[in-house]
Amino acid sequence: MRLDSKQSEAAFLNVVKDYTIVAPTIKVGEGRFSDTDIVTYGNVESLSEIVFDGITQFSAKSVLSPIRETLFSYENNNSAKAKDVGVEMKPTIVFLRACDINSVEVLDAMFLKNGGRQDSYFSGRREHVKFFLLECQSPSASCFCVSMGTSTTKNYSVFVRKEENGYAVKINDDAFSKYFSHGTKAEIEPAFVTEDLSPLSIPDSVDNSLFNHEIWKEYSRRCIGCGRCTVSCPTCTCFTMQDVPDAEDQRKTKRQRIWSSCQIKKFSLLAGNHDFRTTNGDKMRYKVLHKIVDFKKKFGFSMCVGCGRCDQVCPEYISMSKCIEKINAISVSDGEQ
Amino acid sequence: MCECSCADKKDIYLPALATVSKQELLNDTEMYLHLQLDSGEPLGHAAGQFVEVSVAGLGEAPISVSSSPTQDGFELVVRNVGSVTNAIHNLKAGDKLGIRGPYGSGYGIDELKGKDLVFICGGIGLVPQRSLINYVIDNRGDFGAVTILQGTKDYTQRFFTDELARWDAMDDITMLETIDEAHPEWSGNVGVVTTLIPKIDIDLTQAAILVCGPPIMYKFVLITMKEKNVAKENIFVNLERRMKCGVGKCGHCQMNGQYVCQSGPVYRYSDLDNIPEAI
Repeated sequence: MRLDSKQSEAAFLNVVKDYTIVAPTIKVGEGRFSDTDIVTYGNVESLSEIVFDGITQFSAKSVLSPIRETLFSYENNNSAKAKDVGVEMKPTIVFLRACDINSVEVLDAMFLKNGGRQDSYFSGRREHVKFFLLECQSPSASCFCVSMGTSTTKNYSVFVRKEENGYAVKINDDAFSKYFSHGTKAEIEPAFVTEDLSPLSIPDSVDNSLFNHEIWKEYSRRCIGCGRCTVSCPTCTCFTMQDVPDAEDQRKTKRQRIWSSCQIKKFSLLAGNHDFRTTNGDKMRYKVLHKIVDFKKKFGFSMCVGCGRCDQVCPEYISMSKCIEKINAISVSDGEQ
Repeated sequence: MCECSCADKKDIYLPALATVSKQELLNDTEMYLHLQLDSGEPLGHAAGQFVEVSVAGLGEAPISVSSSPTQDGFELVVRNVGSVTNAIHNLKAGDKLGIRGPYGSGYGIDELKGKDLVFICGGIGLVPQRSLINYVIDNRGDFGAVTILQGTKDYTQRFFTDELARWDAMDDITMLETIDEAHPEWSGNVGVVTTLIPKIDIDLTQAAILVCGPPIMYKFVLITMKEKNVAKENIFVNLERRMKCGVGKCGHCQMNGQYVCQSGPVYRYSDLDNIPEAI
């Protein structure tokens, strides 16, 4: 289906009536440094606000797992009687690239399957969210989705491409046909990346000797343990719990969960304040192996989707892909011995 | 548990209320609590499992269940180390707590049946082990010889002393205790817990060795067990971590793909071969 600019915006206005739209958009002056802009996820109300090229600095995972969310509130401070406030959410559309749509499978595995119990807050949101696909005409410098097997997807409701005089759409989900009925018929297929600029080999498993390998010392020197990589990552789901006073009623307490990170201090404490993962090199090793080996052993697919965001946001210019390359080189040479 | 689909929608983070029926300070830092769920239901735990304890306004902490499933209600022993545990120390009988769980897989009772059991406990490592020790006592015919080794840093930190004396008085239990540093009131063994191992008079290679204590204790107990030719398959270690959610979601207790709150906290030592971060 092809729609000219006028038809598209009119169609989109009708979509906005029924859905909250979350898409990559430019926030002027809100970049990391003064007078810089940032391309990131935000609520949009017209197609013209959407940025169709480039990677967002943060993923859209906060739509499904908010940075800070209230789980329930206690009725008063003397009793721990808790009330389930549930999830109330307007149906939402999120514009995602193939890698990010594949990242939702990781969130599903963690929140819906891991531990054999469903997280009702996540599943409540998940039921209200649909995905619109953004295509990648060419790979960016830091991403490696083809190597991770996440460069394509069929799991989207509508694909939208920005063209010179309007938009091209492919509708997979009939629920959306009514919005785009005024266009001219055309067979539209999204483009997917077929080759990474720097292809990687991913080891299937690693030897225990890797734990004490020299390479982690370099990360202990460079990494500052800020956790920016895990915040930007579309598949990091770790969180911690906090009780905070209810601003509206001081007698009440809210239990909230907040994103946490394996990269920050005290994340992996044992009983008695002991810790087996203390250096930043240890934490880097834990994170990278979880992303490419440990999660895969459990669920059959890799956790890392190769979006390259962690490489872009690291203040110390540490590269996930370079680290995978090093691990692979070590496992290959170990295999030859 | 209802059989409709609402089970899927259940809020896994919502605690149930429990009431403190008894509390007692065991030493400077350890508080004993006996609790009953307000629902009237039993906790339904297996020996070695843990619960998440909520104090409104402060948060949650994972605490091992110390009582045997064969007992009425359930017991916790809480060390005063932070804001939640400090608030627990201030509770009186009749006060309420939030409880989630039981979580974790606990000791595999069936694998232990018929075997000689050797409990090696360091300090509050006794707390989770006690759930199994009292279960064994209540099902004595199902198990072989029972030996309990308890090591405590110093004399004033000893706790459950009446219970240790009761176990000691039992004909079918060998109870050995030590403290790390000599004390005028103490006439028993002085030295770390491993100094008691040579005093065990059963064939260690045929026994199940159950270990819980601080990391340094595991190190030396495991070295000693290797010298005694005890197979890794027969050693069970208890890896208590700061399990924030208890339900395999928050990620805090993960080590090399294993979630301690799910597959632990009790592990067969041979299952930890590929997990360098475990011990």
